[in-house]
Amino acid sequence: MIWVNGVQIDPGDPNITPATLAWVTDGFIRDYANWAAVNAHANGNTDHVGAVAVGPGVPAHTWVEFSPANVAGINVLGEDHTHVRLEHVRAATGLTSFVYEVFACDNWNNYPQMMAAYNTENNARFNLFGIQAAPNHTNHASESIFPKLAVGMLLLANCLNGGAPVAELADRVAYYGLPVQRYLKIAWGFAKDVRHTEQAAPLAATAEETALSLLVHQHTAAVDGFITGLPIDGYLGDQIVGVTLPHTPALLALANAILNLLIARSAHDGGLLPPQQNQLNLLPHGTFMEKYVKLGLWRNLYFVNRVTHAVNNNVRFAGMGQQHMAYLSQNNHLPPTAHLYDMQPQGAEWRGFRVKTTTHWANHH
Amino acid sequence: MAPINVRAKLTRGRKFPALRDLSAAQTVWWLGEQFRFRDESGRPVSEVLADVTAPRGFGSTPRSLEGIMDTFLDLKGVTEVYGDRAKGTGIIIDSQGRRRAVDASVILPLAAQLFAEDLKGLTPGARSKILGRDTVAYAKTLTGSDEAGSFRQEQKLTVAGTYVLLRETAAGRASARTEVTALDEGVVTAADVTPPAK
Repeated sequence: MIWVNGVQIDPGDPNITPATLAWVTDGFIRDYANWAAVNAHANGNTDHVGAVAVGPGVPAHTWVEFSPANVAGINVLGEDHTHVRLEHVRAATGLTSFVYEVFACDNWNNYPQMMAAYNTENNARFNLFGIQAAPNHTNHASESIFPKLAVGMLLLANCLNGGAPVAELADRVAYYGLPVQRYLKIAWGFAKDVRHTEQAAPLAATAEETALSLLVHQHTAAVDGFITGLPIDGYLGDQIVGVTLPHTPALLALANAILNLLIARSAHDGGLLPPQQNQLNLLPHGTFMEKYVKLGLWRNLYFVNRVTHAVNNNVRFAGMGQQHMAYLSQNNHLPPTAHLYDMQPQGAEWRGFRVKTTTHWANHH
Repeated sequence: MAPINVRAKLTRGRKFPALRDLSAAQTVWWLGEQFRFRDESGRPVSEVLADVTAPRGFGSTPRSLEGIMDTFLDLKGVTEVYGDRAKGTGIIIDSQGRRRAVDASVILPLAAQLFAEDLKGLTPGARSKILGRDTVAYAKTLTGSDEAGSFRQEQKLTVAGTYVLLRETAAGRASARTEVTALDEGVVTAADVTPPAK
């Protein structure tokens, strides 16, 4: 179904073309300002309009309209990760120019084993975004993987050293056992890459790299098969709760060593600007919570830089959690030209899309 | 029976594995059928709503590492909602100052949490005094299912007359607590429950 300037179009309308004839009666709401917009969409020349198929409610789709390509400014979508996500919008609008929160921007040249693990874990997501064949996934990235690796190891170490019940790693409500397993697999690839680099140039290695390299050497036989055999999207607790694993101490030692290395890395991360580096280095990292806060800021500063990079490179869409969009907006990290869309169920823009769709649905003939 | 006229200040606290502890200052106003709710944590609207609608009573709990880490962002601002239960209309003004109209039913749970829901079938427990009012504790069982599976857990309500002064939920290391810290009757004016002009 088609609305132009607020009026529903009938099949006999002289502006209908073979490309739009089926739309008149197909049961999907489409709303345009004028016929040029209808035809641009029908001809595949848009990336900003479409019907997002995410329930609940009637109809089970929602007509969305973001800022078009001929208007300056990036479209920033703040999402509830359990509701409408950027992949749903991509499926509806056909957008191809985007950065998204979950993709990592790092230079992988020295980390082939980490990259292999990362690609395995994210293959399904790459497919959702149609970028499985993209030459470089980092083109679509909003953040560094290293803070997230570190948080994964922080949470794992906290359970293995008694700071939290190991059973939580299997708890579907607590949930974090799933990402901990994902990041353990990626972090193990990272650790093996560090070992390889350290062996090639031992004098160039830092103390943290040397310590991790030694642990990798000592424990590969015990843990490699276990870690690399963990299923995709499984809960680590399913593999270790109630089981006496001889290599649990090795896992704890590795998690701590990886964490120490990454915190040391954060202190001179070349991806941050000097003021950001200073801001990060002022934070302590002695306690669990201090580490958590520091790693969160590390990630956030990267995020700021990546979104700025996307803006400067005329990327059309940036997808992120609504909290992040609010944070960037509140701290003036988005340009005045940015178009903000709160896509949560009660978010201002999603709510507007939904009201328009349901109103047309109620009044259609 | 006199129309409702009450203002309550609340503290919403939440501890949950892997998430940053939450402590949010909130206020509820009621004047007849009109209500207003204010949250000062800077959180997105969906999270504020989840405080009172999430079936397990723990509010919004992320399902991604990104979402987990986002709970450590320092957010600013207030979220306010205004509603009219008789007319069925409501307005949300988010922490970025943007407003939208909603059905009153969407936002009513935020203000209605001040009142004791149907206590029929619940056994009165310990008696105490909070804010100078006599209270009775009730144990309520929350049941349901979500993406983490089916559940059955206890929630404790501490009730003074028609008001719930304390609502506590706990399971494992997770706990949520909404406490009324001030309760003033007869002080609300029409201006308190009228949305600001656009």
